[in-house]
Formats: sequence, structure tokens, C-alpha cells
Amino acid sequence: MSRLEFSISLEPGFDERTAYWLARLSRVAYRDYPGIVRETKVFWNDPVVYAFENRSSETQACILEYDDVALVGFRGTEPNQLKDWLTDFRFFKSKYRGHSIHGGFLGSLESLVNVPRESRGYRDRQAIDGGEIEAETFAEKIAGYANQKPVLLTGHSLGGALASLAGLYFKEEYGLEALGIYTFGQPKIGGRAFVKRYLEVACPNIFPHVNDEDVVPKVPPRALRFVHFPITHPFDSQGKLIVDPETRRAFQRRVDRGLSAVPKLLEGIGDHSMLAYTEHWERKLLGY
Amino acid sequence: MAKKIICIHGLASKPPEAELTRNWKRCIAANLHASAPETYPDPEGGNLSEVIDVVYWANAIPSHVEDDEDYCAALSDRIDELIEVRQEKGPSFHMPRKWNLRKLSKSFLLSAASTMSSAFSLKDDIVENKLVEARLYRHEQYVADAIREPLVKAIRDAWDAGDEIMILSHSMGSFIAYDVLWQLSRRRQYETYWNKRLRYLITLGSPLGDGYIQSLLFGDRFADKDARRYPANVDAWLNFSAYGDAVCHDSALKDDFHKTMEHLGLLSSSAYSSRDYVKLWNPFTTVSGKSNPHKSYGYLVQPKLAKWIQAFLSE
Repeated sequence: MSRLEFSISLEPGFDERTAYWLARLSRVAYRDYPGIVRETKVFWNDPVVYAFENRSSETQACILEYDDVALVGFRGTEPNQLKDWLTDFRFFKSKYRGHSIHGGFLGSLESLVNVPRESRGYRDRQAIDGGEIEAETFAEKIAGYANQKPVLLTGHSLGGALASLAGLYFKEEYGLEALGIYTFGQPKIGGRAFVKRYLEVACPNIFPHVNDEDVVPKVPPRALRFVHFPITHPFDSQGKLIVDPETRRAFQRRVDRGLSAVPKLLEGIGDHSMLAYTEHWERKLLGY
Repeated sequence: MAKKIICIHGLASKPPEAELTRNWKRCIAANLHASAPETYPDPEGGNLSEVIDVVYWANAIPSHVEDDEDYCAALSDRIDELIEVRQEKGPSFHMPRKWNLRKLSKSFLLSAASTMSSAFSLKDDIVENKLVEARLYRHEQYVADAIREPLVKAIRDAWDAGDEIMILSHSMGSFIAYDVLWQLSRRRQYETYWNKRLRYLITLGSPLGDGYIQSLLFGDRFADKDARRYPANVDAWLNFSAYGDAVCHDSALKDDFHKTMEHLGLLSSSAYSSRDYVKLWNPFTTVSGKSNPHKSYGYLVQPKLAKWIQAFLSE
């Protein structure tokens, strides 16, 4: 039983309830397969869960598959995983089909595509090992959704960067156009030209959320030729959505420049918590 | 769907069942009235009384002697005073701000003691000699079953009737509640209840952060990261601990339970599925005139608690 019934909008464009449930999925994506199943069975209308993990690059994603929609969540940076930090700090840009993109994030996403799904327990593992069934890879699952069912992408922090990048990657590789991409405290993944092309050509339905002084969206700084996507949901220090256009522009400038990341580092780390993002929507939708 | 708030008391001597029930209901009703007088206009509770079910287990202890009438009357006066304080203070029910050197040094010492004590556990001999109920709970299986039985029955009755449940547990009542929930979600004999869920587990002044108390729990034989260590039927778990309450000397349960339970998917990913409200002000004064920050009545009038009871009743 949940206070807010599970519901995902299948209409294009932003939806608050969808944002709330995808914020929760971004938290759930930090768990291992059994933890994801336990929660989704009870609170999320019992979808089929697929989990993928590349242990060498420490990249993880999960898919919640329903009859009418698939939700893809990417796991963010785990503070105790050195490889996650190395991914974040590989700032050099790589070329991908004419786009110039953060090399660490692209490498991470590419490391995941050919990974087979995790087994669902003993019998499943036996069947895979015995060759009776073949575990689908992440790429096969995603490609199977193209023109079949709408897909929503989400993630927090590094997971948000991977979700936004996946929007472009899935379109280029599998012809899958995401219904929406909801990211929470994601870092920047490219320069001004990349962001412009991304929004015009690839994925106009991206909804980045940034919480006040969250340090992660400010990196890499503009001095390294990175800018953030237009932040559709900036939150102030009281956890309220900023609506005043001038304040929103100033917020975007501050994030793009990234200069306040160091002096406000401690505050920025606190504001990066995924719990804060979930709380914003929960408070708004439940009136707390 | 109907709502049921099941309350379970802690250790030490208790008033007779009817008196204890009346006291708990009065405090909860007064707290709700102070918090939302439009929604709860009757400070005595009115219809609320039917929603609240107080589980009484003190008489399962063979040596238990109920408080006498004089004591109960004096206690009732203290509760009246407490309710007045709650109404006067309104939502700003925090530690008094008027500091002087004595208060400041006391506060510093309490804070230091609280920080240091969270690193320690209750010694076996303290439990054996002082906490009779906890000793019996550990050694006497028959008594332990009798202690848990009324709560098991109350929960089963509510679930059988299709009610949604909030449990308000105080002190030792919190680990009884924890064990009962563990049993109901893990033991084969309760298989018919495995898909039932508790909406809120609320622990007040709980000793569950203590390593020794954790060793009394059913799930203790399983490793930290093993889901079988924890109950699998709790939607949200909110923990309250007051400033200076020695029983909950390890005041936060996040590191002991919440974090791992969330990771294992046993508590939901909702932002409000677990909370530790620490350093609360419990203004209860005992019959002998001394401050007792552990007393249940002082916890039952916390404004934050009223907020969650309201949320539960209005869901």
C-alpha cells in the first residue's frame, strides 16, 4: 500500500506524478536485483524487473517492464566505488556520431549495452548456464521496445548523465525515441553546441531537476566547455520550485558557470542527496 | 478502509489496564486537538477512541503489581499538566531556549554522554538485575510468548477486519512490536498474513539501537545484509527519541535498521519511509516532581507525532 498510487503518464510532456515515481526509481536503482523486486512487487504494481551490471566499469541499470510502458533507471555514483569517481572525472570529450560528449559517461554507457540481464534466482541461473534460455542483453531489451512501447529514462547523479546520454544513444543505435527523460542532479555531458543539437534533433523531452546548491550539476565547469541542459525544475533552498523567470535564468547561469561548486561544496554535497529530490515531489503531491 | 492505531506500552510498573488505556488515549487525543483543532475539535478524543487500541502486556509478568489508586490519581494530574504544556506551546514544542550557564553545561554533558553512550551497549548484569521484564523476555519462552500474544492478536484482528494499522510502541514495547512483526512476516504458522502490511511502525524512546537489545530479537541470528534479519511487512518506520532519555541512548535507528532495510527493499523508496526524530523535548514530570524524559506520555504529545497520526488517519 502506498500513500500515492503508482501511476505513470503515457502522454508526451512533463507530468508531476511521473516525476515523483521516476525520482523513486532513481533511488531504487541503487539497490541490487532482490531489493528492486521486493519494493516493486508491493508498491509498483509488480512489473517484470530486469537488472544489468557491468562489474568492471561499475555501471548498473534496471528496467521495470509493464504491458504498456518500460521504465529504465540508471544507478548513480556510489561514494565507495572508485570506478564511479573515475568515470565522473574523465572529462575529456569523445566523438560519437558527430557529437562531442563527456568521455567517461559514454564509456560507461557503452560498457553496459552488451551485458546480459542478471539471473532471477537459482532455476533461472541453471537454465541460462544449461543453455535452455538465453539471457537478453541490455541492448536487446532496449531495441525490442523501439516502436513497441513507450520508454521513460531516469537516474540520479551519474545515473542522470547516463539517462540523458542514453536518450541520444538509443535513438541513434536502435531508433528508440524516449517518451521522457527525467534526471535528478545530473552532471553536464557536453558543450553548448551539443546541448542545442540534442534538444533539436534527439530528445526534446528531457526534464533535468537541480536542487539549490547541488554540486554535481555544476561540474564539469564552463571553463572546460561544458554547459548544462536547460534546467526545467530548479528548486530553491526551501525545496520550492523556482518559477520567477529572472531567478531561473540566474540559477541556470550559476549552474553553467560552476564557480560556486568549491565555496559551497559542503552545502552542495548535502543538496545532492536523492532523498531531497524525492521529498520535493512527495511534499508537493501529498501536501506535507 | 478503516484505520486502527495499536499502542503498546514499555516496561516498569503500570497502572491497571483501563487506566493506562485512558491515559494513552487522552494524550493522543489532546495532541491531535492541539495540532489540528478544526479536524479534531474534541480534546477528549470523541470517536477517536474507537480507532485506538491499547495492548496491555504488563500482567504477563508474574511479579507485576499494578500502581495503586493514589498513584494513578497523582499521575493523572501530571498528565493534565503535560497536556496544558502541549496546548500552550503549540507547534513550537522544542527545548526551552532560555539558556543560562547551568542549563548550558547540563546540556553539554547530556550531549557528550549521549554521543559516548551510543558507542556502548547495556551490560548483561544490568539487564539481569535491573530490567526484570527484559530478563524474562530473554530467558522464559513461556513469558515471552505471553508478552507478545496480546499484540499478535490485536494485529491479526485488525488485518482480518481489513483495517490499516499504525503501531505506536514505547520503550520495550518497541522491540516486542518489532519481534511480533518479524514473526508475522517470517514464520510459517502466520503464512496467511505474509502479504499483509503495516502502514506505520512508530517507536518512541526505543532501546532498539542498543547492541544487547538487538541480540534479544528473533532476526538476530541472521547477518546484517540478510533480508531475513528484518521484518518484511513495514511500510514506514518513524523513530522518536527525547533529549536525555537514557533508554534510547543510541537514539538513531538509521544505521542499525533503516539504511539496510531500505537497501534491501524492505522499507520503500518513499522519502518518508523512515525517519529519526532525535533530541526531542519530553517535558513529563513524575509524581515525585522529577523530570523523566523517557516517559511515554511526554512522547505521545509530540507535535511531529500528531502530524503522522493525522497523515495516517486522513490517507
